[in-house]
Amino acid sequence: MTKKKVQGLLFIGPALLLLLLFYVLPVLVTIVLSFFETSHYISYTWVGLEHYHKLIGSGFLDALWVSSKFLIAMYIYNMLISYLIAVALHFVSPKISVLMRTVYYVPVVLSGVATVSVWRWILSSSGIINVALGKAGLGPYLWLGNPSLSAWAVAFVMMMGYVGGNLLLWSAALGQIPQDIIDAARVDGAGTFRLIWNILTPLTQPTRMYLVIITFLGAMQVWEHPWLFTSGGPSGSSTTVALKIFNTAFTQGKIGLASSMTTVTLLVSMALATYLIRKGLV
Amino acid sequence: MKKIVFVLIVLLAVWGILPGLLTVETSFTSAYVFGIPKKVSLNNWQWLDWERIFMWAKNSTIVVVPSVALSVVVSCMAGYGFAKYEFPARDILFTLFVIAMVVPTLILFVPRFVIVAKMGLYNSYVGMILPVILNPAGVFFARQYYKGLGQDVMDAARMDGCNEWQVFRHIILPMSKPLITIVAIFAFSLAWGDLLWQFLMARDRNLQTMIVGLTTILQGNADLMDLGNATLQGIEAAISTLVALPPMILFVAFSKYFVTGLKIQVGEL
Repeated sequence: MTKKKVQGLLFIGPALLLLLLFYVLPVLVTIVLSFFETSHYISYTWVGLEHYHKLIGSGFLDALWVSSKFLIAMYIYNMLISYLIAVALHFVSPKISVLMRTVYYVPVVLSGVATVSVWRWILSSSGIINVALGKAGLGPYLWLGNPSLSAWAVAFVMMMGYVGGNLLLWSAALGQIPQDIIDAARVDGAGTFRLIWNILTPLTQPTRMYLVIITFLGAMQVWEHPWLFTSGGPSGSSTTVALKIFNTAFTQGKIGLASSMTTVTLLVSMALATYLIRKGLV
Repeated sequence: MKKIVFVLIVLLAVWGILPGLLTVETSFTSAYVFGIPKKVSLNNWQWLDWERIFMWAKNSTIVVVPSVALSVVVSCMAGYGFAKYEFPARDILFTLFVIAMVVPTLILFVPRFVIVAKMGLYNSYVGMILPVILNPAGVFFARQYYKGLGQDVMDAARMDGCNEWQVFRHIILPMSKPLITIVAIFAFSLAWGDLLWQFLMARDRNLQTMIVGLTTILQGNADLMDLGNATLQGIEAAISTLVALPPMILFVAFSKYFVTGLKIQVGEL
């Protein structure tokens, strides 16, 4: 090998080492561990496919369903709403548009643990939402205490943490559409709806594609909010895949079973992500 | 119609910043009200257990600063290597980094925990830092950035007798300020908000970081300090404000780069 080749490898060396240690190796370790029963990380017993058989009765499928709910909610809350805002802001003056985008980005910076305390109050029976609904003669609803609402409510809390970022991406994509295409459509008599549906939407396909994949990966990793707001309850109704794995591994100490869950989740997400990228149809 | 749409957009924006505003406001009121403050009060701030908060802040600093610095160095080096050198299996190796970008990293916490524990790094700062250093997306941006950089600067430096490392260190890195800023901001956000991993790694209370500390209070697991005249919600709000402050300051100072960083992501995928 020439000196220059070795130097190239030296530059990527640290990154490659970390990639092997914290991406490649964990995937292999989790597959291997899924075939073993472990006790306190000391003794390992081969159990074959037993954990995969157990997955069905373990509530893992319910967790997959909860994660799918989050995915649906995130596609609507985060992707669709941010797109509509971006389209609307595309037609106002640049100054206002920039200002609004900045304001929308603030909750992205602040999302997560820092606003949990206030959100608990907002969603409580005496919080703003229920007070407002009460004025309209509705509720009060226990958003976090109702099994059929909890997942949607937690996804709603997370919403503003994503809208601002998606909005920037949509705006950038819309900004690249030549103005004369929009003007030509206007001259041809296209109304706002047709303009959005037939011109803007097809021309922002690469961004949509990217957001579909990123949102999907985001939904697979929802853990923090359900953990902090509902601990996954009531009765598992907001236990996402990540939270299920967390509880199985660290509350119940079943590392092998948790590893089989991780393996299945990895396979499913990698397969779907590859499919989406290959198809490029979204 | 146009007006209605615009009003809705403004209302949603206000809704977005409301939790943040209410948090700061609550920290400065004496009663647990969440509303228009009747009287500004410093009770909550006075009754904070500052000793413990300084410890959390110290731990966060010890974890976040090296994470950001190493993330920048590792990403820039790798991106530069991929962009400017030929070596065996280069494209296959780069594909590995691209695949890593679509791995839902968070769910790898069980095997990562096993690996870090086997390395003897459980319950240590190094254990918290190591897994967050590499951001495959950072390597990806860096490669794109360096691909756009002309070859002649490097060649000129080589003519002047610089070796390959000196070329990178003295010529390339100083030309990488936008890239470094973007990678650093990403690394900061990841490390500062890395609740799951820092929570798993810190068995000892004196290793808890800001975000883990706040979480223990939110979950009622902290053997709470004497509340004095403060309220629990007030204390929560005050600590939440402190947790939100560094990312907020960064955003105000570097908002331009937040936007560029995001745009690069789609532009290149």
